[in-house]
Amino acid sequence: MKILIADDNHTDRLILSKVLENLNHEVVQAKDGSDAIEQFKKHAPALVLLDVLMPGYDGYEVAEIIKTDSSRAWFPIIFLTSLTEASDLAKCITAGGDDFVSKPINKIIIKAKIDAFERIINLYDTVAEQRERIQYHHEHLVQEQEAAKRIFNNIAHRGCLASDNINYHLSPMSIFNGDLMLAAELPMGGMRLFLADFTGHGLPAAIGAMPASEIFYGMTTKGFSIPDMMVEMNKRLYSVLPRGIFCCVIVIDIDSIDEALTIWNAGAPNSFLIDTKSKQLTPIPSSHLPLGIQSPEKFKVACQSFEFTKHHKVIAVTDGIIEAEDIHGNMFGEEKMVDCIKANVTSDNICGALLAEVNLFCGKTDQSDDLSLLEVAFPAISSDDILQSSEMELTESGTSDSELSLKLRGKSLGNFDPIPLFMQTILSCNELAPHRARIFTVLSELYNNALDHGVLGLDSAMKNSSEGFANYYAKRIQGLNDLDVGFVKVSVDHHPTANGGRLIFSIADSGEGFDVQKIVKEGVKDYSGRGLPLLLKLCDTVEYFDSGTRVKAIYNWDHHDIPE
Amino acid sequence: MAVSSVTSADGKSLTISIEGRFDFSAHQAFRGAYEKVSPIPSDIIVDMSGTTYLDSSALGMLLLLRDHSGGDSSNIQLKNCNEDIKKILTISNFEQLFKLV
Repeated sequence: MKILIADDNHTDRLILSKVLENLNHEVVQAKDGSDAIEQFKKHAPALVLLDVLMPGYDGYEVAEIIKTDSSRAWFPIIFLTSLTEASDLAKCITAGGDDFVSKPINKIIIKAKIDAFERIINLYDTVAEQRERIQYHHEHLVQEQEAAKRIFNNIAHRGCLASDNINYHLSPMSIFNGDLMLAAELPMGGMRLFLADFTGHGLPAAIGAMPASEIFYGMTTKGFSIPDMMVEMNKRLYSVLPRGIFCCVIVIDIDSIDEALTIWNAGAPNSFLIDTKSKQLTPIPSSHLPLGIQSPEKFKVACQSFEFTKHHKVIAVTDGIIEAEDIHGNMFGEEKMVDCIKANVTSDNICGALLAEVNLFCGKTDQSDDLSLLEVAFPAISSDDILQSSEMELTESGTSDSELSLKLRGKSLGNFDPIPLFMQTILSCNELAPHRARIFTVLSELYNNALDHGVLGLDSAMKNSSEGFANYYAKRIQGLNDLDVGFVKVSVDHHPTANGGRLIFSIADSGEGFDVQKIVKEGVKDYSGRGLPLLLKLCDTVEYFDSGTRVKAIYNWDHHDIPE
Repeated sequence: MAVSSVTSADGKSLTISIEGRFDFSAHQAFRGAYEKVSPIPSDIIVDMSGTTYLDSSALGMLLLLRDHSGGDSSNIQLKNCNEDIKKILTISNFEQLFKLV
C-alpha cells in the first residue's frame, strides 16, 4: 500500500518510514504541510499519516485541503500527535481525520491501525468497483429498454388513442409494467378499444403484448367481432405465455351508427358505463378468466351490450388504480374511485380528475407510473365520416369479375360471422380499397338485418330505450344460441364496368318478412329500423322482394370518382 | 409472509398455509411447499386464514400449483379466504379453476 508520511521532524519521519517499509508498504515522505499537499497530488497515496504540528500549513489544514480532493473515492487520514488534550484529539476527527496515534509512535499500534484501515480500503474498493459495474449494467439496461420501447411502439402503436373523444393515462414505460392500451377505428365507423394488464413486470409482460397487439390491429381492420378476436388472442397467449403469467383485458366496441357499446371484461376491475344526463353509473364486472389461462376448447366469450350515445361515457381501469397505496399502505380502492367519478360526472376529463385524486391520496407524484386509465365518450364520427377514404393506385386486379355466395343454416348462423370472409374476397380487388368502409357498412347492415329482424324476428323498435337496448342484445344472444332452423343466404356479385365496377349484394333470409313500405317511411326518421337511410345513401339502389325476405342492393363504383 | 405445509398421515392431501401478504416475495417458499412433496397428493388445500392480501403474482403462483398437480384434473381448495381475497379471486373468475370453501 502507498502511504504518505508528513512530519517536519526528520528523525521521526525516518523511523516511521523504516517501520512501514519493513511491513512492505511503499512510503512517500513530506517535510511540511505544503510539501504534504504537493506529494499527495503527485503520488495519490492510499493512506496519509499527518503530524498535527508543522510549520506553514498544520496537519488540520492539510487534512481539510486534501479531503476536498474529489478525484479520489476515499482515503483515510491518521494524525500523529504528541498532544494529549481531549479537545485537540477531537479536532483531529472534525478536521477530516479518521483516527489518531500518539507520539512517540508505538510500532505495534501503528501496524494494527494501518492493517485495520487497509481492510476498510479494500472493502471500499470492492464496493466502488461493484457500484461501477452495477451502474454500467443499469445504463445498459435503460438503453436496451429504450430501444425495446421504440420497437414495441412500432408494433403496438397506439392507433387512434389520440382521438378527441378519448382521455387516457398510460405511463411511457407502461409496457414494462405489463399494461397495454390500443385503439382502432372499426371498418364501419366507431371504434374498438383495448386495455390489457399482463401479470408480472419487465420483458415477459412486454413480449406477451406483441402478439396481442398484432391480433388486435389485424383482426379489427378486417372487421372481426370481439368474440372472434378474443378467441384468437386467447389461443395465441395460451400457447406462448408460461403458466402463471396471464392477461386481464377489457375490450370495448363503440358502434356509432347503432349508438351501441359492446364490452367484455375478463379479469380486470369493474369498468363503468356513465350516463352523464342521469348521472347513473353502471358497473361492468369481469365475467371471465383472464386470457392465457383457459384452453381454447373451453374458452367462451359473452359480451354485454348497452345503449351508448353522446351523453354516455365509459371508463376502464387496470388494478393499478384500485391498488394504489398511500404512505400507510392503505389502498385507494373501488369505493373512492366511484365517488370521484360521481363527483366529476359532467367533467370533460374524468380521467384527469381521477388521476389527481389518486396522486393526492398517495402523497407521491411518481405513483401514476403504475396507473392505466381510459375514458371514452361517443366518437365524433358521423355517418358521413365513414365515407372517407384514402388515395389508391388504379390497376385492374383480383376479384373484379366474380361472384361469391354463402348460405348459413341453423347453428352456423350463431357460430360464424361471414362478413370478414366476404370483405377479404371483395377487397382482393385492390381498386376497391378506398370503398372499404362503405362496402363494409352496406354488407354488415344488410346481413344483420336479415339475421336480427328476419331469422330471429327481433323488433328494432325495442332499441328505443336503454332497457330495451340491453334486452334486445340479450334476446339476440339467446336467439342465436337456440337457433337450429332458418338460414341467411348472402351473395356478392362483382362485374367490371367501363370505368369501374358494380357490386350487387343479394341477401335472402328465412324470416317472415316485413311491411317494406312502412319501414321505409319510418326508417327515414331514425337510424334504427334497419338502417335504411344509410343504405340508401351509400348504395345506388336498394330493393326488397318477397315481402321483405329478400333484398338486393347495388353499389356502383368508378375509378375517377373516389369517395370523399 | 410465511409459508408452511403439512401432508396428511395417509399422504392423500397436502395443506399449504400462507401467513401475511401472499405476493411475489412468497414465490420461492410457496413453490418449495409443493415441489418438495413427491408424489404430489391428489387433494391440495391452500389455507388462507392467515393471509391478509393477495396480488396478481399470487394468482399466477396458484396457477402454477394447479398445473403442477394435474391441470384440469387437479383438485385444489382455497380455504378461509377473507372478503378482500375472495373479491380478487372472483374478479379473475378463479372460482372456475379452484374450489372456494
